[in-house]
Amino acid sequence: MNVNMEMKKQNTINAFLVLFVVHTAQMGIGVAGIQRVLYKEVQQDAWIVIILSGVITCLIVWIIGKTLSEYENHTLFDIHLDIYGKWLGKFVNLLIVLYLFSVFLSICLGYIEIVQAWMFEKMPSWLIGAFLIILTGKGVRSGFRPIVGVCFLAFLSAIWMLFIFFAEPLKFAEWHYLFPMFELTSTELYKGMIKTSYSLLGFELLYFIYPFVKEKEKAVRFAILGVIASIVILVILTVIAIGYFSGEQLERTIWATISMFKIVKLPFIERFEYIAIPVWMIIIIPNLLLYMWAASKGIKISFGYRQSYALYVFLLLSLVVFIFFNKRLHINMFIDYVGMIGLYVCYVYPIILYIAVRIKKSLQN
Amino acid sequence: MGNEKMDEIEKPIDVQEWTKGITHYTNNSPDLIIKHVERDKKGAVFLYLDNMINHQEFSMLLLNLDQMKVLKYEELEPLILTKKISYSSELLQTVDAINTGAVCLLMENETKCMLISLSKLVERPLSASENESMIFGPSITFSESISTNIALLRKNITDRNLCTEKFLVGERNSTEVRIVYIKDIANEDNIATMKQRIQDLKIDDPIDSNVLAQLLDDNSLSLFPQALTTELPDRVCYMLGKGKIAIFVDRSPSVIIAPSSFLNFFETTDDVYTRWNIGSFLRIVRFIAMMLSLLLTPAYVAALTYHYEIIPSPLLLSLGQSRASVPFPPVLEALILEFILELLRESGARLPTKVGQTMGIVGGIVIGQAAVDAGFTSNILIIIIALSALGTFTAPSYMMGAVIRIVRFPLIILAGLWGGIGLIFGLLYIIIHLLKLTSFGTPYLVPIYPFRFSDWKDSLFRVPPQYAGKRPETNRPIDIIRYSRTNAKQRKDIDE
Repeated sequence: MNVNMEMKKQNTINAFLVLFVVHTAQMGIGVAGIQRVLYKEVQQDAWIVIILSGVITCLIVWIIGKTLSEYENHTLFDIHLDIYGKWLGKFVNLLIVLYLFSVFLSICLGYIEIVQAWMFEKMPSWLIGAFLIILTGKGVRSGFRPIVGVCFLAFLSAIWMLFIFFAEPLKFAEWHYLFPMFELTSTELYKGMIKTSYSLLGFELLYFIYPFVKEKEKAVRFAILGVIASIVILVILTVIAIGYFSGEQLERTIWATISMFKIVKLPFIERFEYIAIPVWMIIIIPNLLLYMWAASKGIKISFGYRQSYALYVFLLLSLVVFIFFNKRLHINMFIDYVGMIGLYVCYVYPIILYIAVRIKKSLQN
Repeated sequence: MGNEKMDEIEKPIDVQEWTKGITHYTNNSPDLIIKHVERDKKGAVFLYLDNMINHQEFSMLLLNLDQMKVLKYEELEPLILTKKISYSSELLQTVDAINTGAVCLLMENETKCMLISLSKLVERPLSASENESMIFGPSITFSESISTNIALLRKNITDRNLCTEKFLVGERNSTEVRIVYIKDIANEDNIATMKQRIQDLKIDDPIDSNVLAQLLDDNSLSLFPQALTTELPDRVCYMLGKGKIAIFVDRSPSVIIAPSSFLNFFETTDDVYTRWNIGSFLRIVRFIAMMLSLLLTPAYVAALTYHYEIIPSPLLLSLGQSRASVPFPPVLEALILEFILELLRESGARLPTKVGQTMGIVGGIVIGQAAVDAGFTSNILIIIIALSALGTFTAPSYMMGAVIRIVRFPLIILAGLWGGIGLIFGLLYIIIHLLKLTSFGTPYLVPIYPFRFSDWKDSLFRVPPQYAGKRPETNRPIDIIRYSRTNAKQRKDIDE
């Protein structure tokens, strides 16, 4: 089955932009509170765990690149149709689309939670959700290139926040909290790596953007650079947080990154988290756009409906979810489940798929 | 069939009938003058509109005719050296020509009539720019006549690759439109797009180049202008040299420059005339001014309505004092004051210059001071609004300044309703919109996205001349090298 898409030139992007796509896709809600989760598992050695799982993530990205380079202009959906055949392929694609959509929902729900916890206790979930839905609708309708543009500009307009950590919380950091180093046991390491992997999800989007890259050979290289950028940021945030909070404090602080903004003091601005949380919308918007774009693209490729109709249906569905699904406990469970599924989709499945593709190719020869 | 047609063309025109016809189709215009000239029993008639032609030239022509006793078009033609001559055998075409200032000469036993273009130029003398003010550089502006404008451009650009292609736009009120570009710099795709769009236009009257620019837009629903218009010849030259295309429209002193990106609206030739470091500084000041005028008032509203925690306590104290007697919530206060400012600006634009100075008094003293004294608004908000108003006026393009002013209103309302979240939502919406927007097929936010770092030196800031040897890549120019970088500045060792 030849499903190679013809790429229009005005839709393709330069390879170096893959860096920003992958990086901004990985940065999201996870960054706001990864420190506590990790600290609970591996205490002061959290940063080692991040580096190790980063290495594994880079390996997986490399495998994804290998899989994709077997084909020319294929997204994951096309590869599925090719490998599993028409009906099974469509079914698997539907599962993937469901996964992408639930990641979209979980990011939205996570952000809504942060806004309600920190800024507007009484602001209804559906209202914050509606903001995100309007932006997603507007963005995805614009097409792929503007979406990548959003990733790029979001990176530029959010990265400055990192320097605030160097300016303020670093002054109060106690470095002896980081010692003794290398006290991990192997079970701790395993658990810690699983927890970190939640925050590194997002690189699987390479499966969907790959056909749109101009110089395909370089795409994987830049994707790996993107992952490295995310790991550097995670390590910085974690090390500063471990130094800034005491162990007990950190275990009780759900969003350590945002909490650290509280002490920033400039002549005309205090309580920086009130700026950081709105700006966090800029950080999650690339995620929302990319996931929603990939999900609606999947519907188009597998079932032939118009992508914009798929988009409207998804957005309407998510509005319904935001209106009726607002028990805190359920939401947290949902987010945990999505993370768990994401772990299998992003870390286990690419290996299986690569083997399947190899087998299929060797059979053809 | 074929024979008949041949007959029609060959048949000599009936002077009497044509005279009647022309009178009829010019709607019995009282200006139409019909002059019979008889020579050797052979009749000739001149028809023209009295107020449309240059009488001095016409009488010269008549004088010549008298001396030479000309009887045929062929003999007449060498006598009229400088004027455009055309022939027509169609009545309606002839009438159109007479309407635009031609003298029609009908002779018996001829198959067509002669049209001598003797139109009188109706124009004002070229004057200094009033709307786009500059500190350095030539101050002459375009006028309302396209032929003068093209002449002015030719004075500025002697490049033999300068092309000025002519089109007629408008079904009823057909207007001359020129697409101007430098052949080996401007990109052919852009030129083709432009021509296609102009040829596809179906309107009765383009009115003005600003109207034409709107008709050629990629997205007419957008707030943002997608083509720059300017009155300054040197700005047009500067843009043509960058590989852009200019559109001149008759009757309009402003020239369309396209494709224009968002950053082009913040460039002036002033930046180029000053030294590169000052030029860069001025540009950056303009961008900061734009950001301030967009964000300052909404941020004030958001902070005072919901997030007063972010304001340090000494500052909050003075803010609270100045707001103590204001009965409105910050949104309303800001909206009222912004609206008053818009009123001042708009009435200032409509007022005749003689009474314009009253605006300063009304705006400055009556509204500013009295509003605070009456407890209507706070001092600090007046400062903020004044700052953001100043910021919008730094945009060299009036259009872009107006857009920033308008965009501020929804941002203030969003900030008033939902604080920081609403404000960021509004900003992100604008950013996504700008990313989607194109100007004649070129992305609007270029060179920020699509990212072209080498073009930043031509839009965001300026660099010393030895590094500016290349034209911006954005317009995909054919000849990208302005001048050789190594020749521009020889490297020298110490003490050489």
